[in-house]
Amino acid sequence: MYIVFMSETKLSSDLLRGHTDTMVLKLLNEGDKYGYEISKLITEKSRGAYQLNEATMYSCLKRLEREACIKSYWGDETNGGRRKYYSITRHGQDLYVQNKENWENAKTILSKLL
Amino acid sequence: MKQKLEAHLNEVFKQYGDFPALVDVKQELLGNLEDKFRDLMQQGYEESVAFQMTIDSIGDISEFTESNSNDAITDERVASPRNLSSSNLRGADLAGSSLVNANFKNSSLKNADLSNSDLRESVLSSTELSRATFKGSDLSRANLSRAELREANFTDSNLTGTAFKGCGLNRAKFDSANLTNTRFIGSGLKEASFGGQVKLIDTDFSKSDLSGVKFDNLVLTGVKFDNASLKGVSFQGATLNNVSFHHAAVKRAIFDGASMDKVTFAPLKSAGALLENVRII
Repeated sequence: MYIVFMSETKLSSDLLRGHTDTMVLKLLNEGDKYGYEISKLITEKSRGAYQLNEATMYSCLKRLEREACIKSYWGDETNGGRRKYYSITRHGQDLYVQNKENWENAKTILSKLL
Repeated sequence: MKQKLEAHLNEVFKQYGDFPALVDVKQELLGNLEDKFRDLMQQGYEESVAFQMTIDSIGDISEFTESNSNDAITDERVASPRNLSSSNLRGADLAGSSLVNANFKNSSLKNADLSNSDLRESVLSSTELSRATFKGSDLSRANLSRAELREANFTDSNLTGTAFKGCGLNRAKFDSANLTNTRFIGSGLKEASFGGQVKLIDTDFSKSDLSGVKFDNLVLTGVKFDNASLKGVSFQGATLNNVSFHHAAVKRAIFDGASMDKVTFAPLKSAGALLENVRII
């Protein structure tokens, strides 16, 4: 039972992981955010079903930054550590819209096939 | 708690040695972890549990170092038949080679001769390629993102669908090259040359610095200059069809004697470009 449960979780999380970039773009499309805000919102919105660890989020953010989809800047915080904020670029917004469309398309096809 | 988290980070990053972005990575991570810890405490977790949950959320440390030293695009990491990554091939003579799919990531090919080579879908990202020559080569769908390509020579080459994101391409030569769907996003292209029979169709120069570049008498179709720096860029006598200049600094570009369609003309005019001597087609 346990093994079945584990593989189910793993499968759906692999499926979700493939869309991490789009999830992050969506959140940044709603306004600039720093790392913890992004991971917290993902946990909250998915009610804990999908959690993004720091390492995965970091490589996602770096990848998006390199592809000029997002930009980053240091915020000046006084209490606590410094926060690095991310903001979406026009190119990132275009990519988000495109990914979202692709997903809607795939969803329609998959629901007919599965 | 900051000290405790910091000490933990120093410990887990120790085995990965020093890498360029280490200080930045740690600082950003520490900020996130502190907030997470504070949040968990507020939710009523006991301190030791909150600490454990916080450090458990870090994940696989190697992902931090990889996304800095390598390309984070994992698809590119598929086993390549010709893996020449991180090699030193300065000044090498590779003219006429068949290097389809080759991987030269992080290599140095400064001054190398790669003319008339088949480099389709090759990976040349983060590669040092200053003054390398690619005359007559096929680089279609190759990835050269973040490569240093100062004064590189792409005369007569095929760059269809090639990615040059974030590249240093100052004074590079693209004379008579095929730049259909080539993406130069965020690159430095100061004084690069685009002469001869260069094909500019759906080429993307978004966010690039094109200071001093001349597109005189060329035909540009579907080309994007969004957010580009166009200081002293000249389009004299050029034909522009469906060319976009969103948020580009068009006031400093020269359009004397150019011909363009309405789709190109109208936004340029409202952006304050100098269009006195322009013909609408």
